[in-house]
Amino acid sequence: MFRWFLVFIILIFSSAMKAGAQIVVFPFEDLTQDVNGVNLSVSQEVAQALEERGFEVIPPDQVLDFLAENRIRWTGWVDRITAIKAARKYNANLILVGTVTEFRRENEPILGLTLRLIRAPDYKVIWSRTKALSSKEEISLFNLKVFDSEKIMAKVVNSLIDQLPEELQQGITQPPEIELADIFLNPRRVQGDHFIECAVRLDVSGPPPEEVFFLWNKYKIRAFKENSLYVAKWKAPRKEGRYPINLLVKWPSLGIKKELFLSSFVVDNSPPKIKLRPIFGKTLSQGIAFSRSITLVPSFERPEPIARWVFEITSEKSHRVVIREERPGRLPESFTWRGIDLGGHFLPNGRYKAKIIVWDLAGNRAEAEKELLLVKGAPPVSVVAKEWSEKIQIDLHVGEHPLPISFWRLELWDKDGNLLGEYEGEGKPKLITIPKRDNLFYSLDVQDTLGNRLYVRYRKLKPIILQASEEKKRAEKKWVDDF
Amino acid sequence: MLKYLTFILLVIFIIYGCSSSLPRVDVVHHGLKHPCRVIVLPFVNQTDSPSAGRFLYRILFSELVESKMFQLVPEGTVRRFMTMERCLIGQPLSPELTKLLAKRTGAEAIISGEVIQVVDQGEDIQLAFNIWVRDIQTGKLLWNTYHRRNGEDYRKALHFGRIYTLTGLAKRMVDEVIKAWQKRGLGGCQESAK
Repeated sequence: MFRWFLVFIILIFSSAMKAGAQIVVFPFEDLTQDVNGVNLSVSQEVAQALEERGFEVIPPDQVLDFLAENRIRWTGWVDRITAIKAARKYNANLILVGTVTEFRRENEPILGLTLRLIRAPDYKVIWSRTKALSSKEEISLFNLKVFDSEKIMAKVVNSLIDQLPEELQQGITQPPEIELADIFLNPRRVQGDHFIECAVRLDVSGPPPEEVFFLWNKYKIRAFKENSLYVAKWKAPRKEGRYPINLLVKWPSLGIKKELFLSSFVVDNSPPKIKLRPIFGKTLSQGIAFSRSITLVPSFERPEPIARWVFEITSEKSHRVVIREERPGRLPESFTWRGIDLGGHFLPNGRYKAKIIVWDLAGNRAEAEKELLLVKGAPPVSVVAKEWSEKIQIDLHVGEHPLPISFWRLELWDKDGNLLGEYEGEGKPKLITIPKRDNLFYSLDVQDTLGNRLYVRYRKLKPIILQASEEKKRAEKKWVDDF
Repeated sequence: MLKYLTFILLVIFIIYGCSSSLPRVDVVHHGLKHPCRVIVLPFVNQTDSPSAGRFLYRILFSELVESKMFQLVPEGTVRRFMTMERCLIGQPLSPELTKLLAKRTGAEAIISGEVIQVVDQGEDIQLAFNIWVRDIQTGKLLWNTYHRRNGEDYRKALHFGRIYTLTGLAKRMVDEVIKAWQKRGLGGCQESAK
């Protein structure tokens, strides 16, 4: 177990070490030997000098294995594939190749060197310099200072490395790293031609960025520094869609720029399409009828986030808002109304209007309405019986009720509790005619289409005796004649 | 009198120090005047020094990169092409292969040349070369540059200015050639020319 842990630590450490490598120094070509000559000592000297300047270097002796693996028998130049392979292997961007054009250690030392720096990703020679020096050119006062080959080499190498581009030196020794600490984008959904404000806070290792831009849809918006934030404001386009925003951070003096994805905004000019769908109600021509409660479910044709909403119920008779609720954030799954107002008082039967108004995150407004019919209580039915000499006519009179009768049932009983007849039907009750009989009792069951039910049990039937009234009228007439 | 003598001597020194045989540039064909993307080929070696062609090629390439006058096709691209087409470096390319090379690399001109003379004997340093710039599409020679100098030519006063290394001499001569081209308005990308 410990062994595996050790291997793991070594792997992490080695990858971290590789992560910093920047320049791969290939062994130099040596034209003083022949056209295929190789010079390790001068290339090693250059690698060491680069390391001393703070560059992270893969020295030529380490590159030899790579050259052998890839069967490369030449020096002084590198082809595209080899450059990319080396860059990947050593996690470097730059490859340094060189040529020793002249080299003599003894008897008036001399060194001629030409270097070429290749950027591996795009395979481009980004820098090249040549320098040569002879001890004959370096004459000190009274010839006291002796310029041996070591000094000549150091002078040539240092002179060449001094000429490396400044941005390369600074950029490689201190590559700034950035991380997004905070992103503020307001609003993220916006209507066309409205303004968007974006602000970022950056964590930067190294020098602070000299220029910061927000990039979107080929536009480059410069951000201005306000305290610790980089802020910019721009007008959203009219065309609907999602627009990604990238952050471009630049250090022109170091020749470095970094681009990273920041966020995105949505241009939305279309109001949401909302509907109110009732459940537990009955659809009539006057609206959605309900007795105890109605549940309305808001639904969108295309779901989208909502910024705020208002739900209100208005009486059609008094035009008074009886219920109103306004909240930010997303809509509830459903609204249930029990026919009461804000104070908790029951409202009378009648027509009401339910309305939902929503605003999406871009501020687009949409609304939906539903006509409601509140019907509380059983249908008012009275039993009117008319008695003639031989028959009784029973009329089930339905009073004012917004809903039609769906079912009715009438039972007639004698005083001993014997069932004399049962009458029932659907829809409007019919006129019932039965033979004349005294001491009748009835039970009545009536329901409207919503299920509001009237149930009267074992009540005495009191018929109106129509014959008696006719006799009375006749007697009155007779008296007048007598008078 | 002494004043006049001193002045005359000074003028002689200045003329001696600053005068030089500048590279001779002959414009042969007036077609393509500003090639931007170019291929540099190793020089043909007409001397006894075995690596003289490669030597001058390396220095010319380095100085052209430094001058930022042209966009140079990397050596590896050219060599890969040569290997694929089984051509030897230093041997002339057929017109078909030249056109194919142009198509693959996007180059407009080829810079090649020959090393005519190399002397590297103690303090006697001499170099002479020809540089040819050809239109890669037609193969026509656009302009030719001949240059010949020795280390002593650059001496200003006493030992100052004198060049003791062949590399230093070649670098100086190539710089002069590039300046002569710039002065004549030959070659170079339009952006860098501005």
